[in-house]
Amino acid sequence: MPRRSRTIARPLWLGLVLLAAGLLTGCVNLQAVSAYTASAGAVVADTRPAARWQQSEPHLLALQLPGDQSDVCTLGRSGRQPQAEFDAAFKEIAAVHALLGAYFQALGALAGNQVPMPTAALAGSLSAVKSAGVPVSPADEAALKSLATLLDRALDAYRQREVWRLVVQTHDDVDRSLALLERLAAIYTDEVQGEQAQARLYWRCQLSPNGEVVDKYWGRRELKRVMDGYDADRAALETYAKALARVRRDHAELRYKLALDGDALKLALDELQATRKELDAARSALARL
Amino acid sequence: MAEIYDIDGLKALASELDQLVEALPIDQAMSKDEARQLMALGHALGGAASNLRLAAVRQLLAEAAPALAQVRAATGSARTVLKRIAAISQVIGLVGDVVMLGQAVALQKWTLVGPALAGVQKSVAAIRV
Repeated sequence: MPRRSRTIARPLWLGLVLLAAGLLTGCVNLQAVSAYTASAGAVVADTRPAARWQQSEPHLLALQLPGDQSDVCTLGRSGRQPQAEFDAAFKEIAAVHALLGAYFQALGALAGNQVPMPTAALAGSLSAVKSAGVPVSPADEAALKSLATLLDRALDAYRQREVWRLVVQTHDDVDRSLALLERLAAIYTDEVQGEQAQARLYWRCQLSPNGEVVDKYWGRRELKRVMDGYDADRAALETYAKALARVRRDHAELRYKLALDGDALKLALDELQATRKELDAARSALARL
Repeated sequence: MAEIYDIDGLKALASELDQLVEALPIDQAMSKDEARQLMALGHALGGAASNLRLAAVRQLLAEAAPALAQVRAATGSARTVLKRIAAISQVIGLVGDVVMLGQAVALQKWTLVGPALAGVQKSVAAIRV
């Protein structure tokens, strides 16, 4: 009886094994890509730099010295567009961040092993067959397992090709979108610099004979503290802009790296781990904004 | 503004206005009135600089719209590929079910044929991408 069953199933297995072998082009662990895209995605999805720009005026007004009733040294830019205009632009920018974040997430999911591999799927299937009381001969089981292993590798190769294809196809548009974020970051930095000029003007006025600050020593210290805060904000934004440039460069390089095979690919992907740390550091620098 | 500025032009002009703010001789104001006037000038310069940058932001967003639409489309197609990968995994489950069906028929275990067939049908339905 078991002999008959094997003659039914064997041609099917053989066909699949041959198909799988034909698909095999090499096998690589794309986890490095997956881990990298998590870091890159976190940087590009971060809206804190844009929010810092959006919140520039409230941020500036918060510097008002408590209890100062004088109308000489005042804060607040005049003729500035209403805050609602900045809020609306921020909403559009946030959508860009969400979109690019989703792109890197999809890239990571494609490279990662979020779907159970054939070996895992098969193990479940085999135990279901056995628990239904159907005898499976050791030879049949071994053949099925080797098929699953082959398919695991074929699937890996398929992933690699699809990740590569996605990166190649989207490169120009992703590059342009990342360039957009980079240029926006430069505008945020300028806005913070402009805000800093306003803050300095306010403090210079306060420290002048027309100002309200009597304790000049305290005033100068306070001015320095406020200016240091602005310098740190701008430094964080500049680090952020550099991280974006890094992601742009990595995305460009990924096209060539994924076209490599075997050890060369592994080596190339290991390099991504180093830049990952850089991106994570840039992102933690944004915490102060 | 007679001259038409591009994005970089808007950005550079805004920075120039900010530099003018830095150069205002507020420390040397001879009277409160003079200080008030200088402050008002500084606030106006700052407001204009912010507006120029807002215009630059809007311009940048408009220019990037086609690229963003492409990224959106590509992200969608990547999700389709992900579904396909999931389907390939399920094919293996199907192989197991087909084996089971084959064995059940071969062994003439008719009580098992029904569930095995249902399993195959379920797997086939799940595989459609």
